[in-house]
Amino acid sequence: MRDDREWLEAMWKDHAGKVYAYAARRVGRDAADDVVADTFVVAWRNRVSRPSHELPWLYGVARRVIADRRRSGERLAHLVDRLAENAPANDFHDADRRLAAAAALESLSEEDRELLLLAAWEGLGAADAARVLGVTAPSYRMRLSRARRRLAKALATESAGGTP
Amino acid sequence: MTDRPDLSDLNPVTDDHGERWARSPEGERARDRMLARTEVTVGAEPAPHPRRRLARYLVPAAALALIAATVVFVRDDARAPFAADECPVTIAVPPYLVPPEPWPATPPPVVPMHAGHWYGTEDLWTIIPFDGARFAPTGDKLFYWSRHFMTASDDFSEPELLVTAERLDGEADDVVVDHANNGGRADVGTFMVTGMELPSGGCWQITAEYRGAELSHIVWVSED
Repeated sequence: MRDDREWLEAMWKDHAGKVYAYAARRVGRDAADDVVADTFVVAWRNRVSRPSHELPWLYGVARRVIADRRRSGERLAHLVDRLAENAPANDFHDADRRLAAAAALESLSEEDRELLLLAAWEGLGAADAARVLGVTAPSYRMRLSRARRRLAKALATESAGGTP
Repeated sequence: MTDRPDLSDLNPVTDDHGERWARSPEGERARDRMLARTEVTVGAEPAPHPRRRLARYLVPAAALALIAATVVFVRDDARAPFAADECPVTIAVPPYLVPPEPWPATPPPVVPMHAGHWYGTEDLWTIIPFDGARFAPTGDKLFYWSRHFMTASDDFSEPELLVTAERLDGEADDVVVDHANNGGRADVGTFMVTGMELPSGGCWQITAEYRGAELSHIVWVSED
């Protein structure tokens, strides 16, 4: 048991910051604290099945924690709102471009968004991103390619005026 | 044409911010809450450390490997190049797929398709030559059919077919092809066709995905 407690505390030290960033990117900073705590509690309960490479596993747990919260009706911040809050006031063109890209991203399915963001925000390679999503690496690559295509279409729609 | 957006540009929270949070009073409080909630499971069965779990399986696994080594060649590196006859090239075996109408029950020999058997499911199938799957060293065409892909399909002009190739016996980047064209003939019906070039010879697994259905086959590609 002591080994397990040491493992939990070491895992927190190594990964809590990254899991917080993962959660804050998806649900906003206000809700991220609780998502991180829940993620490590769930990880602790499932410690028997923990893999040696822990971070993609923790991202996968955090992803399910966030999905549970959404299903339970909790209002979680949307990306467009968070970007609007942070947009620099002196560069309207850049802010517009970012908001159009964010709106295009928000218009995709949750699965497509996660495929794209694990690569773009968490910087995961195909093998680790596939572990987060519970799919094979070739399947991840195929889905990512398709999600990129859908994002490009959505962005073209946003740039052309907003409605398809 | 719209450029692909740089999504990293939209990242609202950096990893550095996450690390600062973990060391902040908010992070400390979240850690304390987490530890308090995990204390209630003190009586739970302790989990073996991964290294101990590994050791639990290591002894029997080593014994099995020794036995296996006496009768078969044990490869030092699973990704070491195969000899041609070590690559498990896909061969269609009976019962062969019989597609739904209007597609023919057996594929007629049509150039440039290879003469062979239908292989796959009604949701996604291809042709495997009689003597096994092939792929030309310089690149090859890949033909796929689906009961969902017909002239009336909404993606007929641009089939939503994705094909990847993964080398099984050596290090090579995966190849992804996400563009396909439609085709149609009276004798083979409506199909999807795409082209693929592989960066090296060897043993490759080609996987196609169309509307949620996946189909894989393995080919041996000789060096140029």
